[in-house]
Amino acid sequence: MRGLLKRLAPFAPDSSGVVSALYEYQGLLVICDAGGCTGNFCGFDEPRWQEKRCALFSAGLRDMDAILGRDDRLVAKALSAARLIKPRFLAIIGTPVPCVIATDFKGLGRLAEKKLGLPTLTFATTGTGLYDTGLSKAYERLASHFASQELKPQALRVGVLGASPLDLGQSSARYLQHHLQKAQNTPLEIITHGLDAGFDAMRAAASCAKNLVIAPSGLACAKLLQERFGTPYSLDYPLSPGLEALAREAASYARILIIHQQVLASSLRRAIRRAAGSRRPTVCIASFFTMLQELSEDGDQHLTSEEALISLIEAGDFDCLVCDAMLLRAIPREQQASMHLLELPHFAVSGTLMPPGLC
Amino acid sequence: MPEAFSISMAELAAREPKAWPDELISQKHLIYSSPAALAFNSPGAEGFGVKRAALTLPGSVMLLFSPGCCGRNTSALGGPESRYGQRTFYLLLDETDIVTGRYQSAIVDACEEIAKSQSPAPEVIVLLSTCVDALLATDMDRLVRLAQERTGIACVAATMYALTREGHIPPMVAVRRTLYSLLRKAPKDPRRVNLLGFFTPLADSCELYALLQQAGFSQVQELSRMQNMTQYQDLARANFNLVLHPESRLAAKIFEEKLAIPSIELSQSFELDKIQKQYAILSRLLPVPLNDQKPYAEALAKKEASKAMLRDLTFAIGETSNAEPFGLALALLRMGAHVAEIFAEPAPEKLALIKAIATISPRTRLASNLSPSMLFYEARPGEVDVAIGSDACYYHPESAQLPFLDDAKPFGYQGFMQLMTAIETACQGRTQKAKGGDACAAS
Repeated sequence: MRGLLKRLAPFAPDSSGVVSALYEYQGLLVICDAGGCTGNFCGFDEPRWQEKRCALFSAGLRDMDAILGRDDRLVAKALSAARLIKPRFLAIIGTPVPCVIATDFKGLGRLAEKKLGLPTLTFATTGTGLYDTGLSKAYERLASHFASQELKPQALRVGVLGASPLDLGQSSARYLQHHLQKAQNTPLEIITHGLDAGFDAMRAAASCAKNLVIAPSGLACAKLLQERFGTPYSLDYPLSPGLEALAREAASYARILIIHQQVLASSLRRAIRRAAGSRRPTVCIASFFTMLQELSEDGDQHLTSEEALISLIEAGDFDCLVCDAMLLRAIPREQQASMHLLELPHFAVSGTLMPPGLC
Repeated sequence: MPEAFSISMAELAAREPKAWPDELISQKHLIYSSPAALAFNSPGAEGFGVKRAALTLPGSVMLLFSPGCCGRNTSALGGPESRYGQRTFYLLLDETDIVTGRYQSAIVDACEEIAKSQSPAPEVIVLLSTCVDALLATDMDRLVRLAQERTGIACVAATMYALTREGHIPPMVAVRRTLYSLLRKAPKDPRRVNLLGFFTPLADSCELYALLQQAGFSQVQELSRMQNMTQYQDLARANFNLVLHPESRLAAKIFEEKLAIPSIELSQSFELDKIQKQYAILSRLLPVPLNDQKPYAEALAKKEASKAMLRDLTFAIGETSNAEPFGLALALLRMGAHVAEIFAEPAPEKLALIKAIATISPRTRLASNLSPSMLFYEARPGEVDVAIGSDACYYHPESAQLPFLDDAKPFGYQGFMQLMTAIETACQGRTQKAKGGDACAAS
C-alpha cells in the first residue's frame, strides 16, 4: 500500500537535510515548527548536536500563530535572538505546519531581511520530502548566495561537496580528508564544505581547483560552481581501508546488492569489481534516495516503498547484501538467511554512525 | 561571548509572574532545543512522549499518519528487540495527500492491512494524528468509527499536537484521557483502586501498595500493569482513583463523569512531613485508616542519616527527571543542602515554592533550558557537587551525575529513600572516579 511502512521507520526528512547542510555556517537557523521537528533533528538527525554549538532554534509555533499567521511575532523573536548571537545570516526552514497554512516563505524572508538587516534564506521544506533533497537545495543556495567571484582557483585546493553526517555517518571530516589525501601524491588543501568548514570556506569556494562530489546531494552545488566559476567536478567517494576490506569480502560472492547513497555505493561497486578481477560479479545498487543517471547501470533501482525492497530482493537472487541493518527489518528472515549480510550504516536511515572500522 | 540568562530566586520571587523576564517564558522567544533538554522538545527521545505513552494500552498497535518527519524519532523505539518497534506503523503523507485530504480513506485501508498482517490480531489500534490534522480539523471520531467498522478491532484516536503544548489540553494531558477512553461502565468492586498518573508502574517497593492493601484494597490497579484488554476493563470496576500526577486530572474527571468513579489527588513530594500529612488526609477518607508508621520511621531514619552528607553538598536541579524541580529544590534546601541552580521554566502555580526557596536560598539561580541564551551556558567549575536531572547532568559533567529518570516512578517515602540512596551512590561514584583519575595522573 502506498506510503504504508509496516516494518521500517521514516527516513531523515527534507528539513533535516537543510539544517544539516547549514549547520556549520554560523547562521541563525529557525525551524518553523511547534518544537517536535526541531527536537527530531537535534535528537536523531544531527550527531554534531552534542559536540558543536549551532544557533538552531524552533519557532515554537502555537495554534493561534498558525491560525492567525503571526509572521511578525516570528520575525520579532528572530530579531531578539540575532541581537544576542550576531549570526552571519538567517535561515527559516519549513515543516508540515507552514506547509498546511501555506506560509509565504518569500514574503517572510523579505520581511525578516528588512527587520534584521541580514541575508535571509528561506526553505519551503514540508517534512514530506527526504533529506537529500533538503541537503541539495541548501548547498546550492549557500553557494549561490555566498560564494565570492573574486578568487582565483588554487591548484592544490580541493572542495568536497555532499559531506553531511546524514550520508557520511561521521560528525567530523577528519577521516574523509585523511583517505582523500592518502590517495594523492601531492599534499592537498581539502575543504569539506559544511563539515569542519564554515561560512568563510563557502565564500572562498571559487578558489578550489576542483570539486569532489561524495553524495548526490552535492551535485547541484557542484554544477552551480562549475557554471559560475568553471570549477570542474567529479563524483567519487574516497573509501576507507575498512570499506575497501568490506568490498573485498563482498567480492567473493556472485550477485551483490548495495543499498546506500548512490555515490558511496558506486565507489564500493568499483572496488568490488577491482577485487573480484576476472570473476566479474553482478553488483547492483538500490537506494531510497536520489539516483543519478550518470552513475546508474542496468539492474540498479530507485526504491519507493518497503514492498519495492522486498520485491527486489525476491527477484534479484542476490547472495550478498550490503546495507544498513535497519533495512533488514523489512526483509523476510528466510531471504536474509539465503544471503551473506554486510552491515553498512546509513545515518539518514537508522541514525547509526559508521563504526570506527569503516570510517 | 554572550552569557546565558539566569536570575536569582530572590529577584524572581520579588516580581509578579507578569513581570518575569521574557527569557524565562517560552512563548516569548525562539525555543532552544538544548542537548540538555531534548526530552522536552522531542518527547520520544527520552522518557515518555505521546507515541510511547499511547502504546501503554495493552495489546495495542499504533498507526501514525503524518509527513515522514513526525515519525522520525520513533525509529529509536523500533527494532525487533524493542517492545514498541513491532507495534508502530506509519502512513506517510505527501503534499498532495495534505492538499486533497485523500489520505483519510487510506487510513482505514491501512488499519485493515495492519490488522491482517498481525498474528494474533491487535486488541486496539491507536490512530495517531499530528499538527497536520490539528490544522485541517480532521474528524477523528469519524475515522475511528470507520476503522473500527472495517477491522472489527477497537480503535482510538490519539493526538500529537505540539501546537497545543501550552493550551488547555496539552498533548500529555490529552493522551492520558485517550488511554482511559475505552473503558466501559462496570459494577464497582469496593476492593479495587486505580493509580492514575504515569505510563509505567510505581516502584514495586513503594509503600502505597502495602498501605492500600492493609486498608482492604486488595487490587491496586495501574494501566501499565494490565496485560490485555480484559484486565484493562477492570480499571472501570475501581472504587476510586488516586491521581498521582496533575496531568491526569482530566482523565480523572472523565472517570467521574463517564464511570462514576471519584478521585483523590496525592502529589509527589520529597518532604516527609508533607508525605505523612497526605497519607493522613487520605486515611480519613477511607473506611479503614492507613498505617504508615513503619515506612515513615524508615524514611525518617534515612533522612537523619543523610543530613550530614547533604549539608556538604551543592546541587544543580533540572527539569528532566522524575521529580518536580522546584519542589525537589525546596526539599533539599530544608534538609540543609545547598542549591546553586535550577533549570526550569517557572509558572504562576509554582509561586509559593519559588518564594519559599527564595527565603531559604535567595542566591539560587534559575535558568530556562529553552532560552536561546543557553547556547552560551558555561558551568562555573567546582560550583556543583551533584546534578539531578539529565539536563543538569549535561550542564555539569564534572559533578556527581544523577539523571533520576528511571521508568519505575518514585513516590512517597519510597521515592524519598530512593532519592537519598541515589545521591549517596552518585557521590560515591564520583569520589571513586576522582580517586581513579588521581591514580592515573600519579602513574
